[in-house]
Amino acid sequence: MTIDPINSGTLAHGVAKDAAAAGPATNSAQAFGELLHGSLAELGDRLNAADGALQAYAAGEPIAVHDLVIAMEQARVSLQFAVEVRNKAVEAYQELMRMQV
Amino acid sequence: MELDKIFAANRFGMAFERMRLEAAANNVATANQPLGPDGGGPLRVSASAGGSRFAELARVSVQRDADAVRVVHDPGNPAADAAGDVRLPRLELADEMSTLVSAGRAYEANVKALGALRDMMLRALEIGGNK
Repeated sequence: MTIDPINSGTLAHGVAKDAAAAGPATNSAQAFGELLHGSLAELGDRLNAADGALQAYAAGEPIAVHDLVIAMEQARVSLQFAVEVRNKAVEAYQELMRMQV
Repeated sequence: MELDKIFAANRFGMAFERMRLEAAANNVATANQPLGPDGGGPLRVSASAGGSRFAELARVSVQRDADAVRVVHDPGNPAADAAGDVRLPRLELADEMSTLVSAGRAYEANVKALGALRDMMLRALEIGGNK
């Protein structure tokens, strides 16, 4: 029995694509800002989706419980990811500000 | 995102198992209820094979098994037809019970898999942390 890899190379491919989309290094700061902005918009969508599902469930609409919980878990993981990225960025900034010139 | 597909696959699994469980529960509940003159038999859930690629999900259909009908001669029954026959669904309660158990277990397995995936993602976010 053989086990197919889960879309092998997709991750590396995605990273390469993102790097290509970011363009030359001259506007990488702007590209990073856009990336951050896009990710935050996605996070907002996730949170809103979870919120909407929760409200619909509370209002008695026929939503499967697992759909609701999965939406909330996805929102949670996305939020955790965003917080972690923010922590890294702030940490790097503070490290630079502490530097003696 | 690539991980969303895994979430979607798990969600599909849960929805499918839940549907199997609902169909089996419905069959058990209506095991002794007379069918209408042209009503079908017990509910059957079937899924076509999924795609060859990961997270290409199967198609699910729920149908009434029109052949699984037993006819009982019972003229005293209000639901009997002109010939005194009553049409009842023909099903094995033992089969339905085993479907209930296996669907419940498979649902549980999906929940476990999703929880493991979630834990892995949250663990990955701890990389490089100062904890």
